[in-house]
Amino acid sequence: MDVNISGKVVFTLFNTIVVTDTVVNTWWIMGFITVLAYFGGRLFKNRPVNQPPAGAENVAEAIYSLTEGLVVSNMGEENKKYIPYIGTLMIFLAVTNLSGLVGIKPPTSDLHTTGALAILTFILIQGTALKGGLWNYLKGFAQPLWPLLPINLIGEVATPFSLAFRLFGNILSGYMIMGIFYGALVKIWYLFFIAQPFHMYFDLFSGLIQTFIFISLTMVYIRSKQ
Amino acid sequence: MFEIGPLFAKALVLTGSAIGAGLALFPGVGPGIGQGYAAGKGAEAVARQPESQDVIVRTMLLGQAVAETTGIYGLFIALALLFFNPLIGYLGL
Repeated sequence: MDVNISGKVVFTLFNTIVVTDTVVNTWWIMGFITVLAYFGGRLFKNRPVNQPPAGAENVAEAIYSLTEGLVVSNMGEENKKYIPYIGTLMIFLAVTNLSGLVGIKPPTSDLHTTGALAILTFILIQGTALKGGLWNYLKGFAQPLWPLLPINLIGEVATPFSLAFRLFGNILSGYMIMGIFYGALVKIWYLFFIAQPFHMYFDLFSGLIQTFIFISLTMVYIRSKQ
Repeated sequence: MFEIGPLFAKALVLTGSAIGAGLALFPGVGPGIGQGYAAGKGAEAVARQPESQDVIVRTMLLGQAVAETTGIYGLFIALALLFFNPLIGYLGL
């Protein structure tokens, strides 16, 4: 079985840009989400105001109100401006983690994808902390005592690492266990239906829990810096 | 002293990496105990206050995710030792 931290190289563009299977799969997922979002948004364009939602409108509303509920309960009513970021993160991570169900390698089992998302969150956390003024920001590292400065700095830098490694490790280990399992099942084809419960745990349960944990930790970290 | 050939040296490094990968998964014990304890406390809390189940489950999952970090670090070390073989490079082979 091939396990790679950065995916297999599919082709190289102009002899400089290396395109791995992670990039290809991420573009497929981005296309999927874009099409869904386009049609989901078009539903609400010419919608009569005083009518109950029908059909696909219910799904779009449910996704939005789920995000809104999470943000409001974790960060409070005054932080509704974070709904777009948290919602984007949630939809992308949910679709990406569940993409193992259709047989492609989940892009989140690549350290580069999770690292990029963790860096985005890190920038948002530090930006929120900087809003309180540069002096307060720098003073925050020397709390509660100044000898703790190096430990505070390490703790600050460890945040994106732990976010990235948690998602990456969980998804990659699930993918590897499924790979080993399928490798074993090729020999005994009539036991193939045994794979379904494992998919249910490693893809459905683990993937959605990791999505929830990533966005929850993002919200908690941002909240703790305000 | 007897000479060690490059093939034997490589085999030795790979053996050590495999043993190290097995040992690197030992950190899985701690998060296992911790997550189980958190889940037990969560069940207790739900039994005491069934009406606040949502908040309890959310807090429990968040704590478990943070507790899991050390185990994931161990897993990453094991993966690195098994599949990326960083120690082979030191041999200059």
